Amino acid sequence: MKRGYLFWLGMFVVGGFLIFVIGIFLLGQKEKIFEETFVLHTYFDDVAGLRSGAPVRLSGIDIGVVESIHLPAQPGGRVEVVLKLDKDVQKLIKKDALAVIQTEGLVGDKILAITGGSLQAPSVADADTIQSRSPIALGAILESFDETAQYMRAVTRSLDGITAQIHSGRGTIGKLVYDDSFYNRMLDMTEKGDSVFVAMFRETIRLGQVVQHVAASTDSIIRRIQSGQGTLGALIYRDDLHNITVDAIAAARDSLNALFRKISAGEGLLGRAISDTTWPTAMDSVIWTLTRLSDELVDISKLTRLGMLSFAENMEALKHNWLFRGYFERRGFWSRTEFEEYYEKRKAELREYEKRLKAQEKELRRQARQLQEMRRRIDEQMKQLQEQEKQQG
Amino acid sequence: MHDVFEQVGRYMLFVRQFFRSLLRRPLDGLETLRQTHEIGSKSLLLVGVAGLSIGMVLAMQTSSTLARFGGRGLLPSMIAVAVLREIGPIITALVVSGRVGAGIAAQLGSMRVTEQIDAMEVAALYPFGYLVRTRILACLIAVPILTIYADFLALMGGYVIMFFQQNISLKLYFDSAIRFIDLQTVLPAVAKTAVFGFIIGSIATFTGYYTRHGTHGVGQSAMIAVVLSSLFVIVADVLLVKLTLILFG
Repeated sequence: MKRGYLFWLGMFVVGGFLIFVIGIFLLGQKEKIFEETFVLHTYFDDVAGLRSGAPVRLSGIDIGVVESIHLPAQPGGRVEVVLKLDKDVQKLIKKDALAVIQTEGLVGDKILAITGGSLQAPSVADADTIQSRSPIALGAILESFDETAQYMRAVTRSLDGITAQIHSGRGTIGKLVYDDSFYNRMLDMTEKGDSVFVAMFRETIRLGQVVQHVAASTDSIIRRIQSGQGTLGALIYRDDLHNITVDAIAAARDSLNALFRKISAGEGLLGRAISDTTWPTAMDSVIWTLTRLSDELVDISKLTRLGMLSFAENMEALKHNWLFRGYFERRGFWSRTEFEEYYEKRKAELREYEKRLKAQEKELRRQARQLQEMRRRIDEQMKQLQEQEKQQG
Repeated sequence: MHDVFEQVGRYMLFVRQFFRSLLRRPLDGLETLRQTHEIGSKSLLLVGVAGLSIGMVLAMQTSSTLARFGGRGLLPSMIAVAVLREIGPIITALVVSGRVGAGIAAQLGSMRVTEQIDAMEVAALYPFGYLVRTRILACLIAVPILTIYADFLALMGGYVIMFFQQNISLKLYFDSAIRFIDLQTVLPAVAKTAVFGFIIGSIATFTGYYTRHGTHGVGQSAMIAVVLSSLFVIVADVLLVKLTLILFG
């Protein structure tokens, strides 16, 4: 047994040594001691607690460690961070890669993450310097959160007040929601507007009928004149009436002479009007009053038209309002467009009538000119008759 | 009090004698190896069981606490840091000081009271070299190796618990375990166990070598060796940790 212990001693020492070597190898692998590495430099204004030995990650995979961190040489300078990275990943890190300090978890250790950079850029060389982005200060974020929270608190308080006012039925919205009188008034207004529209429709239809009737009457008059019927027709188209006319005219002339004499003597209303000097003033006043009245009427009609347009627009808005849409829909929704179409149609019809009336007016004017010509001829004959009377008398 | 300082002075002379004895031949290498076996290999079971148990206890105790903060994934790292930095070395040192310190002191004490040491001196042998130097050197070699075993087994103990709790793989466990560990952590921690070994060996041999008052003195020496070596291991640990932090950060 003299040296039997040596086996166990050997086992003891070799086992311990193996464990130690494996441990060192594992740690060395983590710290890239036995691997080929390259060095990168980056500079930060603030490393936010990053420490030597912190892992460096590319796309979330550990590719090296922070070798060392150096304070700036002078005040205001940037902190130099030296990174020791796997040689294998050198080709994956481009010259425009960015180093960012991140926190592992919410309160975890600081790590350094590298973004690979653009595909076009060349890969980094050993001891190159890459750009960095300063870490976000948690304090600044919390401060901003605090401000936002305060603002939200103020907004909530204000909304609280508004809601309370609405609940208590105060203010426009409160009254709109809780006061029935507004709804009732609107309902009443809508009903009135409805009846006004119905009346307007009826009046428009009646107006159309009247115009149609007038046009028809005018038509028949003209036809009668043209066919020589009636006084005017006979006067224009029948020659046998000449002698009768001359007699009638002579009689008329006598009557007129008598009338003129009376007028000249200042008898009757017309005589007084001519001889009385105060008469024109009174007439002026009457004419002025009439003119004013007509102006007033024009104004009123304009205002009425404006009022109706506004009302129609309000009603149109109400029809599209969420609050009243349902009401209009229940009553059989109708749009202003339909009314406008009907109105336009009626207007076109009226224009057509107007055109026909104008044509008839033209015809009438033409006939009036013929009448004037006839009158002139009558006057000439009258003069001849007077001359014959003088020669006889 | 006078005695205490006298003993301190004698201890200093004893340590000086040890360092001077290193220059003296023969080195009694075979005896040193035998002592290493006595101190190291034979303590392995004790140290291994202690390390395994400590690892398991650490995992069980801290698992629920870490789970409350959602940090159960950090458990391997926590066990590794605690074990490799402090618990492994100190547990090993205390176990060895209890088992070996008493053994050495009792052995040397009985040799002293039975005048075997005096006989060796008379025979012109070099008892200090053969009895003291070999044991101190054996402690210097064995305690660091025992610490490595204790560390490894404590980590394995933690793994056993984590395996049953979370069914975690061994690779993931060790990957997580070494996350916050670097060589600057491990090497000083292992190196300081050599100091612990020296403290245990020197105090045990000192108390045994200078045993007086017969067989009663042997028991006294064994007790004093255990008490003092354990105490000085802990006190030295405070200083060494501070020194490590100053040197390696």
